[in-house]
Amino acid sequence: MLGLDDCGTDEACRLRALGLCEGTSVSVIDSRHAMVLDVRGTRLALGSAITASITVQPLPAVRSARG
Amino acid sequence: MSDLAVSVVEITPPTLPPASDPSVLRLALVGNPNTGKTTLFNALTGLRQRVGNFAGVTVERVEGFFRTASGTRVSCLDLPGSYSLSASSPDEQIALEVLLGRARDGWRPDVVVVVADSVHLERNLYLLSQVLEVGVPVVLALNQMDAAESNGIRIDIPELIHELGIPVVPMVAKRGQGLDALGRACEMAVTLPVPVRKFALANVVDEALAPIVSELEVAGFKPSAARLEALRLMSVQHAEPHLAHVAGLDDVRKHAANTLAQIGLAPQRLESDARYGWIGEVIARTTTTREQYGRSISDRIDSVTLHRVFGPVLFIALMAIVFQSVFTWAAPLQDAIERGIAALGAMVGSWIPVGELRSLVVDGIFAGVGSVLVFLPQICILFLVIGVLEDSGYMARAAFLMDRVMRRVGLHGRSFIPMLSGYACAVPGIMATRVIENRQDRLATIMVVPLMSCSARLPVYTLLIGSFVPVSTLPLGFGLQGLTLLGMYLLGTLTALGVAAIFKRTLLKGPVRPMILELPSYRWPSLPTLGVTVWQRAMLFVRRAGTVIMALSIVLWAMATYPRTAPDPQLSDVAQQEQQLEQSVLGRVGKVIEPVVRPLGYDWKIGVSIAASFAAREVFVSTMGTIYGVGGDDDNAAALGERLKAEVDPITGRPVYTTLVALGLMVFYVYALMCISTTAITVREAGGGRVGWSWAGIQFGYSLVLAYGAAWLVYNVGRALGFGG
Repeated sequence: MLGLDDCGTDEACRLRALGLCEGTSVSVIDSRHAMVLDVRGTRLALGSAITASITVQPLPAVRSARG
Repeated sequence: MSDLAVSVVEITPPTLPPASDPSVLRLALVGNPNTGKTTLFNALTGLRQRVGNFAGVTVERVEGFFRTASGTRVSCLDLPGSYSLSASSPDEQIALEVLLGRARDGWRPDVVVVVADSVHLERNLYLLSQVLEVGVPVVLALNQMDAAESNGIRIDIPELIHELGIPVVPMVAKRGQGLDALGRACEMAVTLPVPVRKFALANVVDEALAPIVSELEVAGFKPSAARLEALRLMSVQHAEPHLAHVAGLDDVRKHAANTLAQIGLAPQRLESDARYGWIGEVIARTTTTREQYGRSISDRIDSVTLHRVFGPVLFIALMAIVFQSVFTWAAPLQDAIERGIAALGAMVGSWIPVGELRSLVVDGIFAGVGSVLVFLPQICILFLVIGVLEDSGYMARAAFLMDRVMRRVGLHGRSFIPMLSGYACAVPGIMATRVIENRQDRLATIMVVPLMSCSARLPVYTLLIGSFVPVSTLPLGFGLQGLTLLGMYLLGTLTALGVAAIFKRTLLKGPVRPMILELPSYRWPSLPTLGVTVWQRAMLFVRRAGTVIMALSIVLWAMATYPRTAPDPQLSDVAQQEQQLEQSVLGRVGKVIEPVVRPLGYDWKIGVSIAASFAAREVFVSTMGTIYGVGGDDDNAAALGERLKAEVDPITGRPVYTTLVALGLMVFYVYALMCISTTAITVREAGGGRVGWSWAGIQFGYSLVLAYGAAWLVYNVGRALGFGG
């Protein structure tokens, strides 16, 4: 589950167009200081500056369909 | 159509039908990146493409032509790929303007084809949902159906057509499947009613947006497009150029945003929530995905390519292969071309009686053209290899890996590909910087791309290393010559990073934009598509370089031949040539330049060759060839190398060219910007006009200073350390 911190920049706008909105279900594939997320079937690599303003909370165990 | 139908009809741009010709169907092609849009475009138009620029901006305009199965002529405009309609970069602005029918050259689309990746349909529908409201007939091309099938994704096409209200064409563009159906769908689409928004906003939202909508309608927008823009503007922070003419828009927009905020609806989320809400339902009703247990192939490959340790190792290995392939694979082709041109030149020369004309044709034109064509194999191979890496999806991973390194010097991961392209030729490298949205990052990259040793420097390196670096072998099988070459390349690369860091801290100060990069699924690259791209780039290069270099070669030949002096019969043949040379225009210019290059250890002959090669580096070798009389029939670098080694300073009696001089000269060439094409493209990409020229000037200036300084250092420090000179 996603919480998006800031709401005003170009990046937030891009992320939304890509389907990354508050409350979206994502699968975290890789998280070091940069993150690779699976959002609505798309693999997104996000730089550390952005990942700092993203909070991901684990969903209760659900088998997610990989698309 | 069993195989990809690439119609090799014309190489030169075809005659354009007039913009308002009613018998031509005008098609705008849009879509997310990585959907195979370019493949589709190439499949439809083959080589009947015309590449230019949109009026007044640096965005590339690619228009192609084809006929549908029923004979309709179509003019197809390939718009830059994007995830949504917006105006946050020049590319996207242009796309939006064209779609809204406000393109400056008056090109208005009759139908829009949205190319979507069937595997990632949900995200692709975002752009489609926006395009549906533009007020122009739309067709959805569902590409990569083969990948969808192998991933277990089933799409109910009739249901999708019903949901969207537009024709939907499943396709596999790289195999040429679906092209005819697409043509038919476009012809049909223009007869259907124009599509509209398929979902409804809450009443309060409609009311809040109404003032914006009416302002836009007053300004000439169609009602549907006005609603699209109104909703879109809720998430936009800054003024958009294509809306600048709408009076009072900013106030109305802010007012609407406030109204919405007050009732608890965050304006920035409005559009994405509304659209994805609708999209979610459409997907649920039309798509079924076979549950996949375990990870997909792409993920498994990624576990290696993005691995903490293996990732970078694999990356370096691949880069080494890229580098190596450009030299080893190209070599036999280059030899063949060189020999071919020499033979052709000799043959043509034998038809012309000995004299001025023959000299001009053989020594001037053939030598000049030959020195350009010799690069074709390298450039083609490099573009091909880079194309394979990009199409397969690996480039995105490479950009991701490089991002960390790039960030330390203040650059973007996206700067990586332009810089890599610079190894072939700075011109496409600089053009590739368009993917970098932020202007500061983009300019910084443009400034340093020329430092990546392009293939034009290769003849200079080859000549000098071949003649002056001993062929000794070091441990581990490395050769000294190979290492020197590698050293030159590394020097350029490391300096590029350093200079970029300096630019980002001074003239181009600014934070590096955070990275959002899509990692597409891995897929097999389509060789025919690649072939078309490589061919186009190659032709562009040959045409540009060929004209400049050919013209230069003729001019230089003239400068070296005139004014003619009566040869002194007492001197030997070689000495007579020397005398003639010194009396010619070229010689006199060289003498003037000599004091400037003496501190670097060069004589006037090198000086004048350097001066001549400022237009194009390859000219260095051909000018030296002209000066040493090694041209025409006997055009080969080994002979020239021998002549260089034998050259003795008449005053001191010592060799003019030593290894140290050669090294210093190579370093000069690593840094100096000597390419009219690069300057021209920098002017354009940096913004054109005064701004463009200023940046090109800075680029040229700093490289020259760097070149002179470094060459001076190498030569004089080397001398001081006793390496001879």
